[in-house]
Amino acid sequence: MQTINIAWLYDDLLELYGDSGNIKILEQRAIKRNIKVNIHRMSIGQIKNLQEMDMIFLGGGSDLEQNILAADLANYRQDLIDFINNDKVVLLVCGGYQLFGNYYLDQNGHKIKGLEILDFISIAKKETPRMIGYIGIETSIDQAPIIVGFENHSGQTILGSTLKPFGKVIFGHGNQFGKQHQDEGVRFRNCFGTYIHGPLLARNVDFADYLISLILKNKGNTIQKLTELNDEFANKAREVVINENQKK
Amino acid sequence: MNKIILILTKLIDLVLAKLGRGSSLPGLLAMKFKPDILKYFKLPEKTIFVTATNGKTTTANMITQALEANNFKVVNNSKGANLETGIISVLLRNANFKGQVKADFLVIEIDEQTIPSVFTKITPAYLVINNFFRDQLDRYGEIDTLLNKISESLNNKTIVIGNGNDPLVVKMLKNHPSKLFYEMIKTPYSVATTNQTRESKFCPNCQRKLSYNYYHYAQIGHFNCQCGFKVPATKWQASNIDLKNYEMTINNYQIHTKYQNLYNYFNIIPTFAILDMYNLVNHKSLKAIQQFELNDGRSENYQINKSTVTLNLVKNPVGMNENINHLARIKANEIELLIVLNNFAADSQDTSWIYDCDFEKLNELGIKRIICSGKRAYDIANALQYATICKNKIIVEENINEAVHKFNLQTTNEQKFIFSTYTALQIVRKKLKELANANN
Repeated sequence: MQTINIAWLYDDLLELYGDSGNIKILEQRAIKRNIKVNIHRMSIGQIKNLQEMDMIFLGGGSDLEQNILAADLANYRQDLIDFINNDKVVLLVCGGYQLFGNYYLDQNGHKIKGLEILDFISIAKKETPRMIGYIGIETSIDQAPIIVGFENHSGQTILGSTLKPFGKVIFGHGNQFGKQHQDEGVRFRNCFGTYIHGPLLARNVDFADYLISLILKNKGNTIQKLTELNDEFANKAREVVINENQKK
Repeated sequence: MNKIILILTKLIDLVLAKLGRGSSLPGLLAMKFKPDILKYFKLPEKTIFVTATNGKTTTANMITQALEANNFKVVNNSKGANLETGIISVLLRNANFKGQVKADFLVIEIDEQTIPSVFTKITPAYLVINNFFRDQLDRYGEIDTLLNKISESLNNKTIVIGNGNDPLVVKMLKNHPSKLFYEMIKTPYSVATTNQTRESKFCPNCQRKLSYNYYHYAQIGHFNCQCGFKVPATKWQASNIDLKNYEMTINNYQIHTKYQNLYNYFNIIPTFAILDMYNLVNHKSLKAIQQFELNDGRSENYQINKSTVTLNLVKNPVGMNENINHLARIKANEIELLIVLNNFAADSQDTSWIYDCDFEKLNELGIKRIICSGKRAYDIANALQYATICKNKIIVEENINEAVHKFNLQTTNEQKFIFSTYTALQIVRKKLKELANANN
């Protein structure tokens, strides 16, 4: 039986928006394909053996939490860079996503240094409204072309010129406020950063399966397609959100 | 100018009242033309504001009914219009053209987020704070910011009666000079661990790990930290909680109630506290508490087809989990449940919170069927599926009336349960009333 190891970093600090649901969904879907999942919860001062992990997940939290853990995570910067350059899977949601950039400039002008792993910055401007609402994006991933969820952030992320987004906004805001900006999140190799809650994988189980297949591929597994599951609820839930928002 | 706005909006309200309609329209208009209109009302000295994430309406209504049982005239916003416009509307409805609200007591339920604005205009004698939970983040941003705002808006003259078992309430009141606390001491239902939320893990004072001797639920419990932050000295202690026999003790008084949910006992304690501050802990008050039933979706029972159907409003993971815990405490099994999940603004547009609910526990108890309804019926069905509940026990019926009808068709269990979010509540209640009446 295959086993996959997922590092869930700062699970106790970064669990603001039901993002723990992402782990649950990945685990359940893997188990149904006869894949054993070990979830390694690691918090401040506890992170180790990242190179043995198949996936890293960081959720969202309030500013308070993020400041607390940023200092700790900085100790593993090189491990994280190696992890990403080895094409291993990283999923970062909201606060976790912002942390991997160069810096975050808050509404009072304070610059909070990021891990400087990916070339982007995040800025929160007092005059810009908070970006809250349902969001739908188009990705360039064949197995998961449409992703929908809910965003809630004041930080606007500006990607460096060499970075590709996670997807293109169909409805909602994405990285920045305003219709002229169409990008959402970031994708570098198999590192995905996004503002999308829901949690992300709840309505987008095809993307969950895509992550699982990436993990298996990295482990040298040659399975082309995962066995199909009954995803009626998840798919219909996604359809409802799309129908509600596409008219706009 | 103030007088004119007051008179005008009062006139509008009079017209509405004659038409038999209540609404926030007068309040909306008043606020538009005179945002600080609340300053110009003359309120009774005995003004009590009640807030909490969960339990405001129940607590405010219980206080009101106990006061009325003592023959006092009470003005309150019993239907729960707890935002600034709703509060203005209630005052307009009950004030004369001089802006005087002539009553012995004014009891106002207020939404936490509204406190900073309202408290620059009104200084109540008392503010009751029962709890702060993570709730509707897409409306309210983060708890930390909110607590700071509330703390800054408190006038020293206002005596705050707070839940000493909630670290967030205790922290928020750190610098407030006039405060009194209550607590519930260890009960047979106290637990050693809790559904893990950030609020229960970290000391709001120093951010180190927070320890608990026991939890009642969520972050409510007997907490302490190495920095010295802990449950403060309390003026009121609830003990001998006996859910099976619907009773408890508060400061040597035996209290009887119609409720069996633990969280409702937390609503009774501050009710007792306020009555105590006015020397009204007497037979009439205790009888009012004993008979108190808010209904309106708070442990509301209907008799349909030989079953008792209990309806509860759910707004956030804490409320949902406590309702699930209640099923465990009464040892329910072969559960028949209807969950109605809407996501209008008042429900919380974002439904991520359902993934912070402990639906796995339902599985442990045994499920006959769960019907999922509302705008986000498929989302709740999905969350249940990922809580390892068997897919063939999950039925989706988006139309709420159809779902309630379907739910009550078969007479199997003696007891059935409905959990509903806010905007679906009145639709569910209307249908349940119809079905209950059709029976009889």
